[in-house]
Amino acid sequence: MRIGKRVPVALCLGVLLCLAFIVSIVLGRFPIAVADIGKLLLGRTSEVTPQMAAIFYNVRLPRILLACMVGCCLATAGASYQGVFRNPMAAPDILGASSGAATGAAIAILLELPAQMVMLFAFVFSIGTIAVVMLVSRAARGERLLGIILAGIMVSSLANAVTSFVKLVADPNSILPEITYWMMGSLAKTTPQSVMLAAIPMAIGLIPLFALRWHINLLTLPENEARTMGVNVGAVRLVVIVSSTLITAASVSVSGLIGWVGLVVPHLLRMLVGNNYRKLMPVTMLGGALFLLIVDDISRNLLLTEIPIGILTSVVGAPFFLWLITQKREAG
Amino acid sequence: MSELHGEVKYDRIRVERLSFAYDTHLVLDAINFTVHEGEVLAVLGPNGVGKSTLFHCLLGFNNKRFKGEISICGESVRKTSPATLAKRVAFVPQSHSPTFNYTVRDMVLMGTTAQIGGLGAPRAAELKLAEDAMTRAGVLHLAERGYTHISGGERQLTLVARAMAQQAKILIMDEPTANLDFGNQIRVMRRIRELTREGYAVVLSTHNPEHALRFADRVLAINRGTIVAIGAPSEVITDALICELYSLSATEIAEYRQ
Repeated sequence: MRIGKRVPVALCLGVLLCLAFIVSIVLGRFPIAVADIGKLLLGRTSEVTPQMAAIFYNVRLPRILLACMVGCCLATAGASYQGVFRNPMAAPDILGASSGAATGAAIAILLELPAQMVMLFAFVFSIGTIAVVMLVSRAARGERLLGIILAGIMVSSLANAVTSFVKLVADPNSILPEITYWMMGSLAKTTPQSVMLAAIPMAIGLIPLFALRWHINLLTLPENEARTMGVNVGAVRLVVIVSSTLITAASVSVSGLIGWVGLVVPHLLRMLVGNNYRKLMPVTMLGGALFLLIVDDISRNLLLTEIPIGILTSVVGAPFFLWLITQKREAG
Repeated sequence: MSELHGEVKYDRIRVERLSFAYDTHLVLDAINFTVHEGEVLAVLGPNGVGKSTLFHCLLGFNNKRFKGEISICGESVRKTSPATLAKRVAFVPQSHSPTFNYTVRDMVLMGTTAQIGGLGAPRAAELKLAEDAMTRAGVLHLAERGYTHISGGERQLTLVARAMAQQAKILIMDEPTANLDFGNQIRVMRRIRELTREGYAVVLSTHNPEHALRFADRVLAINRGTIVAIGAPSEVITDALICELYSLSATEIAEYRQ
């Protein structure tokens, strides 16, 4: 039997997320007392020091929000890709969305463009990569879903080659470290503007995925079967792929490459609530946000210097996944 | 075919001059038949003679490629939207094992998707439909079990329940007894027989002439894309037909009988 039904798991995650949110505000080099949190959140800035208000609104709150948003998006994209490609191993990286975004960002950094342009480049390249993947897979013979995955691997490899070339020609004293650091994945450069900028594409992608969560179940069945149940398989699949890619690109463009979230979070939650996307989707959204918020807290507080979050998600994610796949299958 | 006809048996499916070709290879050649409500039509024929293609045409997959006319509940399949067709025709595939392990309840609930329409998820009304369907198909006790963890026969009955939850009165079944043990074959066929008493029209393919004899009202024998015989099982299923369909000699059949 499964451990919980939807409401308890979703409720638990919601409560944990609120707690993690409060704790994350307190944590950090600049101390913010629990008593001041209420004043800050309600915007009563006159009752706290200007320095505290500045740190809270410009650094800590945006970063906490972005960690939640990116975690939510990467986990949701992973769960959606897994359904639409009928492959439990699918993750936001498979379509080349992440690699494409990395290439775009590297080029923008090389050209010393401002932060907004880095984001825009990442986004445009990511979408472009997906477009190429879809076109190539359409032309490819044989099984279409396999074609998409193979095309994704190929196009990713091409994008990585471009990124490597960009790194090669980059100034090793200033530009190269910046690109390298960005590639490791980090939320350290979060600004209120980047939160606002990422929020729009994220919302545009998350809303249809949430609305279509029941229909994603039918996409996991053989295509003909889903069609006989009245589902417009082609249209639903397209919306799910485009939305998932949009939120992946938006995440990568503000946070760099953060791996494993899309694989680990949905899998853990599948064990708790089962595979029905109607239940899985809401808990994945909450769980992804909670996971990345906690990992980001570790990333900025564990050592004196910040640890790139992408390194931490790999350190946490890889062993966890190993444990996961060696577990006995749940009893029916 | 409408209320005007009063007591007359309603044609659920009417197929006229149906032809289908892959490139130049003719798979179905000018096929005609009808299926009434409350009737089981068994489609007999060796592998690769166009049974699957015929089913795909009935399910609206080949709308742009077949020639002739197929009417489902009096309306051409070409003019019927997939969502409307789903309310009239349900497909029962061979029991399979999907990538993700859904509970039997969730699997059956998926059948109600056409009822929901558009976005959204099943609500109380759909849950009730699924519950009823599971009760009628005899799988309610499995509701919370994982679909990939139950037996082949139970899976097949789950898929039957899903088709019932879909609220369509025509069932197209692809070899419903394939890969089932003897007991489950009988259970599944009996359940199908019961459905016709509720007004369902059932078209199923089978490789077992005995099932066609025992459980079907009519038999449609196809070979190389054309109808070899159609009619009551006891009249259609003869040694001569079996020899022709399955390329057997009279001696081979006689030896099998002993």
